[in-house]
Amino acid sequence: MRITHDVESSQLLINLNKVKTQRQKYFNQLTSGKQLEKPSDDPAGAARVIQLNKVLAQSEYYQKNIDDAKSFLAATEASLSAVSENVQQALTIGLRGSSDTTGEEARKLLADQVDYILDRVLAESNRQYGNKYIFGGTVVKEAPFEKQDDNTIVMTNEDAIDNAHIRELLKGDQVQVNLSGRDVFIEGTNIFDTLVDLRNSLENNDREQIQAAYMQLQDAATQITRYSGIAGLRYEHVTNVEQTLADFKLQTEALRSSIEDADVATAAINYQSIETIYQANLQYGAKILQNSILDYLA
Amino acid sequence: MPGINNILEIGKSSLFAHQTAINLTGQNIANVETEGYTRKIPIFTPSVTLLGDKFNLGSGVDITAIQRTRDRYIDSQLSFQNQTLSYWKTMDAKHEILEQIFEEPSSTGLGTIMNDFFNSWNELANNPENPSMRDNVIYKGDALAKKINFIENRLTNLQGEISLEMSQEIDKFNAYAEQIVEINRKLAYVNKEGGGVSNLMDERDKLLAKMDEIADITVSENDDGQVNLILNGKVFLQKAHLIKVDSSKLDNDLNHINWEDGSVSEQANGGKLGALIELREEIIPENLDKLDEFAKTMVDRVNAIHKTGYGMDGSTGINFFDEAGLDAHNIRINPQLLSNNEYLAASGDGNTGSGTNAVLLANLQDEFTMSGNTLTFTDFYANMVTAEGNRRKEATILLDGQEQFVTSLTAYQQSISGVAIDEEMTNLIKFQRGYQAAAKLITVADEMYNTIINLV
Repeated sequence: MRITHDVESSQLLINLNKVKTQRQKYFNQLTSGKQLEKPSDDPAGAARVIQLNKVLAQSEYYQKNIDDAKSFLAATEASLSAVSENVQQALTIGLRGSSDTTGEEARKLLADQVDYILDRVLAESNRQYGNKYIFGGTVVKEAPFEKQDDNTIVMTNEDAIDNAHIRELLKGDQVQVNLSGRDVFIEGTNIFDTLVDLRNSLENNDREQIQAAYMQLQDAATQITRYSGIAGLRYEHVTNVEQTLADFKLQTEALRSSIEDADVATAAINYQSIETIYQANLQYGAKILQNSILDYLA
Repeated sequence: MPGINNILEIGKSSLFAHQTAINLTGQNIANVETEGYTRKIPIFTPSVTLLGDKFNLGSGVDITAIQRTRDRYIDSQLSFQNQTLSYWKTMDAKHEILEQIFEEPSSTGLGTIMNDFFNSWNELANNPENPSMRDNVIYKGDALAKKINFIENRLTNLQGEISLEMSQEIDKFNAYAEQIVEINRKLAYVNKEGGGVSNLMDERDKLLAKMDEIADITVSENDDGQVNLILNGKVFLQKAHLIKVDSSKLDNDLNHINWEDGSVSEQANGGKLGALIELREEIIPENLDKLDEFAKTMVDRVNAIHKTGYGMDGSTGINFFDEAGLDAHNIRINPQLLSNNEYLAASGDGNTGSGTNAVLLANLQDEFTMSGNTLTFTDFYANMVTAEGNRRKEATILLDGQEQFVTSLTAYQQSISGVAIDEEMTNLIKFQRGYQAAAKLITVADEMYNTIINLV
């Protein structure tokens, strides 16, 4: 084949261009740290990255749900433990009130103390987390429990108080973060009524009634402990799921990285070798293009 | 027997012939960098044979032709492959723009914005009464609708740019055809031999190569060097007669070529024009259709859930997206929501603390909503991106292969038609020596005359 002037130079230009394109690619990989920058770099990989981004975004909101669930359950536990302390105090009062040695005046004083405890338990039952009532179900605007004129305490919204706040911790793993105010304070043993009974019987100096109220109050204490336990178990479950989610997130991120991120060592070596080829091409060009028969004619 | 005169004649013809050859060599060297220049070689032919008594002797040399060194087979191969190259070049360039429209994978692409949208519902579900969470959902929904609008807009713009490019290409095509008619006319008058003609032919071949890049034309050359051009079976250029492409009908009738004489033929499917039509009529519309399907399903499914929920003010049956905007161009958030975030239906039962409807909307992301309920929104979108990535990748690979093929063909064509300095210099020395030898012959003939004259 005749090698003409044009063939030599154009072939060199084409080769240089190809090498430069390659060099640019590896250079980009090195500087951006990514081997997948455009869908065409790895079309199937691009789809995987979009899917994994979704999974990771969901993990983030699962994490938010977990944080929220933990705070809510922690608030519930704190509130229940405060109620529990108050009930314990009431039990002590009940014990003293039912003693033979306690006189009428002393019982009246004790009744005032029970009144005070009742107010504190009411305050705990209406405690808020954020702007939600912990024991109020899905009612937001009004407190779930209210003191009537006759000093008894009732629910303000019987429809919504049982409504659940559900948090999804992982796909398919849902947990109810709130306890129904009805279950905790009203159903089973009505804590408010029991405290009211105790107070009234102290006020009336009725020893038998005081003892009856005392017995009921013990049931109430058990009930509070039970629900506190439920909140604790749920909290523990949420913490376990959090660990699972953290592992899952780590694995997913590693997977995404393996598709999307450039292996810096490989990219550096590739870059180095293509650079060598580029230099060789330039030297070849400098040598070959200068030489012609003209150099040797007199 | 031919006399001494004949020797002088031989010397003279040889002088002339070598002088012409040196001229040609000079011309070749001068045009070593000229695009489309074909190397010329002199064809030396022995002159008329003189009948002698015993032997038949020649009367010198003549340059009977100046040959353009071209291989018609390679030329036609190259013109076809150039047209394919131009097709893939266009495809690759446009797909590069197309795949950038999706901005994937990135934190600004539709994929991320869709994730943000669904996540915002989840956050709202945890805090349904929080007004800033409500604003957040509305803002993210608005961003989602606008992103879809933006992609649709860029796709439609690209379509418009391609239309413009098509009419420009047709104008060029017509202009080249006009110039070829001009060359045909000249060729009909000029003597076929000689440098003038071969330069015209070089010029013509250059124009034909440019036309090839635009569309898949077929060339047939007459004996006098004039060419006829055919596009999809239509002879549109015959010697000095040209029928141009009517570019004014381009917008209405893309599947056909309308000629200015009123006739119609099938649209070209090769060359730059073929690629542009395929992009405009098949590939971009396919993307737009998918985006429309995506937008419509998004509006339908989100609204269906949103309508069953309750706002802060107890309102229900409210759309999240405007129900009139059922495609990628028109999708937008319900303007009512923009003016009052209380309409946002997070609650499933009318209680303001309920977020159950927001949970349903957040979970919509994982439901099989697209393509006959087989794909999630994310799956569907990822498939779109992959399809576009694959098309670009295919175009790049095929372009690369085609470039290599054309390069080797061009090198082969150049090896026939191109100028090699080493060779021309060698020829120069050869022709110079020939010239010197011819001059020597004349000296010898002169000396022979001298000898005879001195005898007298």
